[in-house]
Amino acid sequence: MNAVLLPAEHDAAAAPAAPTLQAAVAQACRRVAPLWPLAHFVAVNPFLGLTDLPFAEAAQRVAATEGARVTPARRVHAQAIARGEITDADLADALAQTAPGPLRPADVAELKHHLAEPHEPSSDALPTVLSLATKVHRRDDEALADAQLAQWAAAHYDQGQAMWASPWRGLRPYAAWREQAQRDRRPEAEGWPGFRAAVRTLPADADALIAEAATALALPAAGLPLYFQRLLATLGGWAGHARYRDWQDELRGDTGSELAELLAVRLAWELLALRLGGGRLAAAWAGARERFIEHGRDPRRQRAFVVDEIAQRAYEVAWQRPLAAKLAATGEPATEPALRAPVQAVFCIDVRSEVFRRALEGSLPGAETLGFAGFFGMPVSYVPFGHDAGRAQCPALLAPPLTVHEQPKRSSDGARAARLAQQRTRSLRAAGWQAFKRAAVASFAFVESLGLIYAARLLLDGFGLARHAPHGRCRDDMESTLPPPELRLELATNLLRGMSLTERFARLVLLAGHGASSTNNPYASGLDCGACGGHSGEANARLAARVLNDPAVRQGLAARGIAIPADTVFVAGLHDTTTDALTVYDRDDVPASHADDLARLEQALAEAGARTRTERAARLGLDASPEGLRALLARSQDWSQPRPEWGVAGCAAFIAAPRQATRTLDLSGRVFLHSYVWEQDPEGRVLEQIMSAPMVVASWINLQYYASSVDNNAFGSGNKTLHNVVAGVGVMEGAGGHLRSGLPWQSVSDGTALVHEPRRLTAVLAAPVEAIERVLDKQAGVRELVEHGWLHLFALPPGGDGLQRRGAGGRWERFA
Amino acid sequence: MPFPPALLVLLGPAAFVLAAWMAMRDPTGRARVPWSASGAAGALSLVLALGALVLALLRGPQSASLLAWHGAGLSVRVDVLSASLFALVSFIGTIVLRYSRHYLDGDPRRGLFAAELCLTLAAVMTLVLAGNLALLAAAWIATSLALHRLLLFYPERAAAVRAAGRKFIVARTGDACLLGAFALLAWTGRSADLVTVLAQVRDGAAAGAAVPAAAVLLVLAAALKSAQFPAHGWLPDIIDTPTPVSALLHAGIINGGGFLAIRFAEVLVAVPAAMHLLAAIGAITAVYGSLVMLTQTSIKASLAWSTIAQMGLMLLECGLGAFPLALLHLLAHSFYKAHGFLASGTAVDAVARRRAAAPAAGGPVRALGPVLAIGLYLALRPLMERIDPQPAAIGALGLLVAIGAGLLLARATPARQPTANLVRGLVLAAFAMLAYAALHAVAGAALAGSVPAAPAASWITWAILGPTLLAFAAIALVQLMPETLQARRGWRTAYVHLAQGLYVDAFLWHRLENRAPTPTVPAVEARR
Repeated sequence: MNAVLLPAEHDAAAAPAAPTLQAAVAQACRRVAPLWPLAHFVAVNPFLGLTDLPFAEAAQRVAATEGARVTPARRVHAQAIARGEITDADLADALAQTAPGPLRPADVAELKHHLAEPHEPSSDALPTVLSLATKVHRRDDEALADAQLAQWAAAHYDQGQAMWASPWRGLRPYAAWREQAQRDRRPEAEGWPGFRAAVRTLPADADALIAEAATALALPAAGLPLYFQRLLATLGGWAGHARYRDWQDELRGDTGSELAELLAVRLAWELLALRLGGGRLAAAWAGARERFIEHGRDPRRQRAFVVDEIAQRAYEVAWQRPLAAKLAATGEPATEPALRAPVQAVFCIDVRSEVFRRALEGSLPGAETLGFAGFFGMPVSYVPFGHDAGRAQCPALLAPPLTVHEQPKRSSDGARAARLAQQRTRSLRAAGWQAFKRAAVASFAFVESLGLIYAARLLLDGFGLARHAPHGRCRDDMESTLPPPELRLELATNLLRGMSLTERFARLVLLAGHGASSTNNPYASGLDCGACGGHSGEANARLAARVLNDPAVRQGLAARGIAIPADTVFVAGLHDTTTDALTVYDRDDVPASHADDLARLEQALAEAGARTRTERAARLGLDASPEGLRALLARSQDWSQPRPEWGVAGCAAFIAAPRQATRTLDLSGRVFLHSYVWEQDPEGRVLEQIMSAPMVVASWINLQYYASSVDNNAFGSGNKTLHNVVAGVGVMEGAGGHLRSGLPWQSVSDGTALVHEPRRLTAVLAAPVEAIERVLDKQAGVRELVEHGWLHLFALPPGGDGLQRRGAGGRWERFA
Repeated sequence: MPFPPALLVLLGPAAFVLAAWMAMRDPTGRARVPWSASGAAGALSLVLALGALVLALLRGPQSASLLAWHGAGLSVRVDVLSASLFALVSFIGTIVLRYSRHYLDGDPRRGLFAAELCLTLAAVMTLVLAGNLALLAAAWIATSLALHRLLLFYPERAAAVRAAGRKFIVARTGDACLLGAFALLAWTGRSADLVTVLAQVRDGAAAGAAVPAAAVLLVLAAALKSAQFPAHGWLPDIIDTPTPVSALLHAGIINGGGFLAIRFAEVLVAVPAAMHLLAAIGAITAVYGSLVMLTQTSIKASLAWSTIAQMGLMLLECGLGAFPLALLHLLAHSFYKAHGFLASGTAVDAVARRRAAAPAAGGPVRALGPVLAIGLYLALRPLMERIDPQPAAIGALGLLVAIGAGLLLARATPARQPTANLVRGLVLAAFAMLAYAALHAVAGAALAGSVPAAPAASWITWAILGPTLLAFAAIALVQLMPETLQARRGWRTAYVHLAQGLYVDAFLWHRLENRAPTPTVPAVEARR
């Protein structure tokens, strides 16, 4: 108890200077990848904060902070070698690409020798005071702290699941926690006497707490960033959620302190554990502290991770060879055919579009398809009719600079007001019904008076008789306001140049966004368009089509050298990736002169949908019989379906090239296809844009799937059958534990095999290597991704030298 | 001797045992036939159950036995209670099995999961149909053990193991109470046959302490089965199991306590103290569960706490002698809660919708809804009493509908044009009130003759019921004025304690269990 009464005396030690401490906190917080809420879930690179480190070094750091693995278990690679999937040539190639040094095995034989040794990074996790307390006290202090922290975080960040919300939600996290913790008796009931009194002695402010804790824990300054990162890793998805909040602030130009506050809360637990823990714990901690300084110094440990990476690289090389052969077979990108295509259809770069594009090209001869980020260059905050707040329909890298409002088409002010009132009344009616159904005591009465209607609902849902509308779709009788006239021309120019569509416009140009339809699926938004911020993309596609059909915009474009023929009409559509139905929006706006073109297109789209479904059925384990296809369609309405579709699982490559380079290839829905014509981009501005945005986003998606399949426990969200939606922002597994990040196990595996085999992204750019190097010189972040091994960079230079790889030391070499 | 048709109902559980055997032979669950078999078992059971219900309604309660020794053996009791619960379990079982087929797709033990579900269903069906004490007790224990296997479907999950362990201890304590009660009843009645024993208790043939002791033990067994305070803690913890198991547990098994109370209503009614005890336990749990439920931030935990409260209300109703109302509650709650769990993946959308909804009424307008609801209730009260005449204590429970309608109207009233939703809201409220009375009357008519009439309310009854109704009204008030009340210091502290369930589990279990660290192996890793 003395420790509680006399904290200052007990903690007497040299205090780290405030700037050192702040820098350490900031550094640790930057290491955490943001986690988007499930209402608009987008894929994020879980190693986002580690890309400044080379891959193997990052892997070692992840092992130290999370006890997680960044490459598959060695036996997975050993099996691939035994099956002949990875050849000795692949291993030699991977070895050659690794920077020489004492850590690199000398030859393939030595590499294989190392690979035969077991390597289990899960035992590398560094200690914390709480983890030591668990050992010293022989009682699960860590579990108690985790449960308490998880419960508090869920209450603090609750978006409206609890009917009685935490009274301290308005405070900053640390202050809110302190208020709660000094009233909570559970730690004392479970063997931590004096807990509440000890909480009351803690400083009221997060910075002061961090300083006090750092002094008491007496960790050398050099070890602080790693220690803080280790603590944040124990908070699971809540750290990611706080980082997401900071991320939103940073997009707006502010700096957030949400995650630093959360770190203060976790540090407070360390401090309390130390103060209440007694001499043996203090001694154990004193003995363990050095490990934070020594991290990464042992060459044998380092080599284990280098060896892991080489094996992983060989596994990827083995996959890249057939791709290179395919790309070489199509030869040099041919020049564009002179004929005017009947239709051009632009799809999102999403890998699911590849299958549909191939099908559409088959069902409508002469049709051209293009790939571009599915928000079609319209970074908007979209405010649905009757809502106060908008949703960001743009990539996660941007804060939407524009706001558009949804409203009924061609309506007067009076009509709008009436409809708004009607909609508000209706949503309140639903709220009243919900209150009757769920609220305490009211639900007693509901059960006894109207509860029996749930027998009918069970019957309807259980036998798939109810129709569920996909969430968040725009209605065709609504439209959004347009951006201000002066901005439209800018948006249109960037869009057309960005997708290398500046000439040879077809009579009809379809812009197809995409979205998925599933029911009872917490991860529904994860199947929607990531470029539209985890929403379905029709709003952006419709906006882009209207901007491009605007006569003033066309005039301005012509002045800038992009002449769109007067008879070219842009239409917008939505590709439902679960059912492969493609719906065309705003058909009334298509002039009568183009009615036949539209009819032909819609017929071809229906046929393409059928072809796509047949191809997808096989991957879902269904046959292409009418029964199998019915089962595929039924998935979108099945409340018990953990895999409505495979999403982006299997994604492995990104190709920015004219469609001619890939048109004859079956890429099996594994490749992000971005349209890019080098000849139209002499200054390399479009290339820079592609490499710094869509390619990075593709790498995020790829690494999200990669991490969820390599170590689902650390980077994925576990078993979907146990998922329990918490705080309206995410899921936990079962009754407790922290928020989970990443993708469910069911999204990357069919139960017997991984459907997403973990491979880092192979990026192929149809551009001269000099142009690519110029971009790398300007974009340090992209260079880091390439040189630290987070993605593989290839060039397909015009002139037909074949596929070139950017190898070790930045040397370009022919790859075959 | 002709074969009694009532015995046919046993084909239901038998079919599920057969389906379980077929499912077990295909552990991965890839083959189609076992799934069809379990579907067929469900359909057969449902048909049999509806047939039994018609039989019981037309010809009154039936008993039949196949093998008997002093009344024990393979015998069934077919009446409205058992037939309606048989139908409920068949229906919920069918839905849950259908759901599991896709939901566990890819799990290498999906077939075993289905087999364990089928076995659990067969046990519950036998439980509700049992015609003698020995079979009932055996099915009671078998249900719990079969469920235990499902709760540990992912044995590598430490949280699931801990929760299932707690439930195991509570369930075995309940079993001991049940066996004690049955032994006393069989000894007094000199038979294990349900009808014989109940008739003897009704006729007052048994004197002495045996019947009162049996009644109290039955109350304890019911309370332990239905997760009543203070032995409720395992229920929120046990959601660490696949969703369909939770749906089945909350819709088909947790209400075993209510079934027991209704089945042995004759015994309970004969012992007023037991009735008061049951009412008190139920009332405390209903209030406590409601309050804790309000603070829960995860969908499944809030469903579980809601079940605790709902079970409390059901047992309160039993303790008041309102057995038909309790049966109605049991059935409707099962449908409601099974759907709640199976559809729990919609919670993300539900929160987004709630956030987008326009604010409801504020200030004095907010009082409009509750005032109108109470006015409507008072206006309809004579009509409700004509539809469903009840003694005062049971009639007083009708106030709950007024409270529900009050919350409905308060939330649906727009701040600006308060009259916009009024007509529809009032029509719905009136419909709910009349539906409540009508359903209660129907349940009463259907159960007439198989359960005793409600005993006259004593001052103890009112002493339990009065404060409970006041507490219910107060809870409604808390929900109506969250921001006003939350600002108060006392309420903020109360929030912390309630969010922790008043630490009941810590006090109960902390000393019992050694909180030794258990390595957690994630389910997906362990089986790779």
